[in-house]
Amino acid sequence: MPYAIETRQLTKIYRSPWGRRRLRAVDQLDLRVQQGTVFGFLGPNGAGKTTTIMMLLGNTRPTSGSARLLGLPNGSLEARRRLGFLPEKFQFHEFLTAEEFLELHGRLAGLSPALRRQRADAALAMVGLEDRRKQRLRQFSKGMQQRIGLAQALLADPELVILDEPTSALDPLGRRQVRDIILRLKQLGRTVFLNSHLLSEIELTCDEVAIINQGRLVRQGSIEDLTAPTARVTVQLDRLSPALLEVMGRFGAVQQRNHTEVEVQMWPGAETPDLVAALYQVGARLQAVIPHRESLEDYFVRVVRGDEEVANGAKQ
Amino acid sequence: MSAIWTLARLTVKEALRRRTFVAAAIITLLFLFIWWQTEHSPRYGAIAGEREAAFMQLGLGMMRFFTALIGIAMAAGAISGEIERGTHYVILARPLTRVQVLLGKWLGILIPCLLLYLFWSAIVIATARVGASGQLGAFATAAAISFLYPLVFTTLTLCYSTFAPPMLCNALAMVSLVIGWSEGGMRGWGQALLGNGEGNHTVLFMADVAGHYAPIARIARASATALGLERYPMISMIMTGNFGEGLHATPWDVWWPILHVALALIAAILIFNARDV
Repeated sequence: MPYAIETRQLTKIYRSPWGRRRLRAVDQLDLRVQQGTVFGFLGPNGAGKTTTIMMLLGNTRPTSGSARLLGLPNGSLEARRRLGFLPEKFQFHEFLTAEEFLELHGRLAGLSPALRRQRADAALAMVGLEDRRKQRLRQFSKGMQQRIGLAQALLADPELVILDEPTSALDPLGRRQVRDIILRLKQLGRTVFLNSHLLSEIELTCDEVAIINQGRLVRQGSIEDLTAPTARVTVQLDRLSPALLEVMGRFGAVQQRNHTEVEVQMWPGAETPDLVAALYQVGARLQAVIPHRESLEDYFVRVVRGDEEVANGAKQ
Repeated sequence: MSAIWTLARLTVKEALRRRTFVAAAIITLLFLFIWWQTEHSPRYGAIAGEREAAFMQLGLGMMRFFTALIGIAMAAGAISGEIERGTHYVILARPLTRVQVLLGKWLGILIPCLLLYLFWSAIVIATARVGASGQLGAFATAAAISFLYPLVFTTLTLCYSTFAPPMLCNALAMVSLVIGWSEGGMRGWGQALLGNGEGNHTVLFMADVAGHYAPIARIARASATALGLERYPMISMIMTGNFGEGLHATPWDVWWPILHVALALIAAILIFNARDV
């Protein structure tokens, strides 16, 4: 089965009109997104996420490299027939009603009249706007506009849905609704490519994420792999003693929280079971050993900062 | 074709929303004022039918000019403006070619322009008593030729819109109009400069370039010829003053604007296809 999205050395360089200044927005990006997964695309502002999405859609031409969607050349009519897209920066034709708006997109997607009606009803119900079908888009709140945008993205029952910041204007209930829609799409075997700053949302919905910074791919992997239990362990004992602190100090940097609890930042290669065994050997009475999983947000900040330090070091 | 028509209808709806027809109503009042002026002007009337011919000529001039202005106003934001606003992103993600998007816009702008033009034509026909004077056929031909004016400038502005933001696009369209209007002045100036009948070749060459870039004079000349205005010395003199040449139109005066529209449309397609969105 072909990848839902596959890029090879995808690069975009913007040049100023006289070619004196160059901005490498996307730099040799190699992405592979499996079909049927929810894929998070992360990066700080200006990292090149939207440029990448525009290249995937065929709206922006890559300077070099290539991209394929569902095994088809990006930007081809066949590829676009099989994808749905909600842009980050959007303004719809606000003089249309919700129903007219979906009718327009149904026509542009080449759906038959019967299918247009059926899909429009289903899409409006999915985003919870069925009772607003006769209302003009100019009367919609920002959140409602985002939901009708999502409805148009899902209208043609696409195999691949590209969502650029789909929850940025939504309240917690709206975000929950979008999250449920994404999970439902996944159950239906659709692929969702999600660009969002809300890392908690990504963490709850995505199977895999890619982090880009300054146009380059920094990390790609499943959330479980990327945020695997880290080398930080909280140890709770009946009583602490200098001998126990010395034992734990052999495994990592020890930070005493109180007279019964310490946090050990394990050295590279040190293992938690070995620490537990060593503590037993010296007669410690353990109450609890809690390994900590890094949140996606902490991981993201650490990776991006680390990447920037490396990049700055290389420049110097 | 269905996608082009869908986009054309969307553009027409947008034109209605922008209250194009309010502008049209104001211009209609202007028509009636000019008709009243012509009706009472002592300038015309020496030859039978001259007053009606003068009003038809003035009416056609106004019709083509104001239709062009409305076309320019709609075309200026059609591509770049929609990209700036973000309305194009969801359209371009659909299985459409950019040629379809551009042609949809083009048709959608021209349809309200044509409807307005027909409405104003009806007013001119009624007020200038065109039917009674047996000039209906000539007027219809002249009106069809005159529609090339808004067609040329709307297409040219749409072409500008594929690369320039709306404000710049409007400015470029206005510059194009000025270039077109300057042809007659340059031609007259070039011929008068040396006073030996041969004229100043550089200025005459510039007049030629202006006439090809924005063929306003050609269209006016062809339209006047279709109306048979050569018969009326006063109108003929005014027209010659404006366009630097007599009223002897050639077929090229009609074919060049048609070719101009085709070339502008091809350029618009090439630029729109090549640009990043």
